Amino acid sequence: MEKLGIQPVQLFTQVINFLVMVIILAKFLYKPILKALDERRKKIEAGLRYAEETKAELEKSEKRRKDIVAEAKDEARHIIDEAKQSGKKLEAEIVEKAHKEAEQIIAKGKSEVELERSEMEKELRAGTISVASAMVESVLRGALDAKTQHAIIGKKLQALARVSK
Amino acid sequence: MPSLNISLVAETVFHLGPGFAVTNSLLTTWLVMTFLVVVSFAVTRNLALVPGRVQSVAEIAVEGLYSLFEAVLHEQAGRYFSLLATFFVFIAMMNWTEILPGIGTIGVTLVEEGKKVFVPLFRPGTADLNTTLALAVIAFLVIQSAGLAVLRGSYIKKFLNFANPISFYVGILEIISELSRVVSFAFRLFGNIFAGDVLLTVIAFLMPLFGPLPFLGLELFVGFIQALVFSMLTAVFLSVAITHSDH
Repeated sequence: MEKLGIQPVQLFTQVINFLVMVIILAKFLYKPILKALDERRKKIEAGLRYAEETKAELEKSEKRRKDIVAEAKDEARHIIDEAKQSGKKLEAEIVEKAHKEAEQIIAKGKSEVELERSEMEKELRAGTISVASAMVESVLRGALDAKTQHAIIGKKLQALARVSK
Repeated sequence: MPSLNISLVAETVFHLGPGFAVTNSLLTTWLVMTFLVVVSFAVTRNLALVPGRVQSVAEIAVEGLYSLFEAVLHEQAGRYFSLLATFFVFIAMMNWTEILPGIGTIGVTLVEEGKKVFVPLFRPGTADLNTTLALAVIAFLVIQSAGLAVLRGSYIKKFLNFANPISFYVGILEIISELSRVVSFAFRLFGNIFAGDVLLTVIAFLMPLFGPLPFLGLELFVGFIQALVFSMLTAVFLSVAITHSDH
């Protein structure tokens, strides 16, 4: 022990030195630093959690926005489709109506023309008969008696009427 | 040619009262303590949430040590952290004093027993067996008391077991092994640092200009490793002592 230089007083002094060091370093170095590290870790964790939450919130609202947009698009397409369909229907109706009207107008025109024609025919026939009877009268006045005259004219007229029909 | 001064024993520099000799290693230890106290005050005086450079370095050191001991002691690390970290920091700082200029070279020449003796004023604290033995004894006491506090009766049973002759004999071996750790702790640290001190002295004596340079780097490394070994071994033995063994 003597040769190694071990002395109880020295040994004890170094023990005290070390213990003093432990107390001082623990109080003024380790604890404050570990505390600071812990605080920072907590802060960072809170920050990360906040960021995560915000991100989730953002994603949710983004999804909602997309949903709304999609819904609106759908609805718009629906409305457009409906409008198109009703437009087509209306068009068809109008066309049909127009067709009908046109047909009516044509039919009316036709019947008017027919009427006019038949009236003209009647007039013509009446005219013709009177002219013919006048001619016949003037030609055949001496040759035929009144009775025969009328019979002949009547026959001719019947033939005329058949032809003109 | 000047003679080389190598002494296994830390020399007494002056006396503080009767019976209390201040050796050069004790003087250096006090300087290291002053340095550490000043540094820790300076670092933690105004800790900020966003750390500056000094704070970052201190945080890296403390957190690194914490995770190191946490790897060994798991959730028990917080309880013994101050002690283990101080082992590391204090020993590393004392070891590194050997590479400072003036340590081992600044001194006074005294006349002892008719001979002129050069007494260096500073000597690395861990190059003195008193320091290393003190640290080893503290480590030993902490390990034993921790084991006793956690395991209580079963811890004593590890050393004194009368169940059968074999376990009794094993208990005796355990006691020897525990006690021998004190010696191995003390001498490992002392041997490494004292040898490094002597190496630097000799190299500086033989090749004063550039010779010591590589050895300074080497001693920086050795000083770090020895501090790490001391604190890590303490942590490992501590974890062994407070772990329940099922046989």
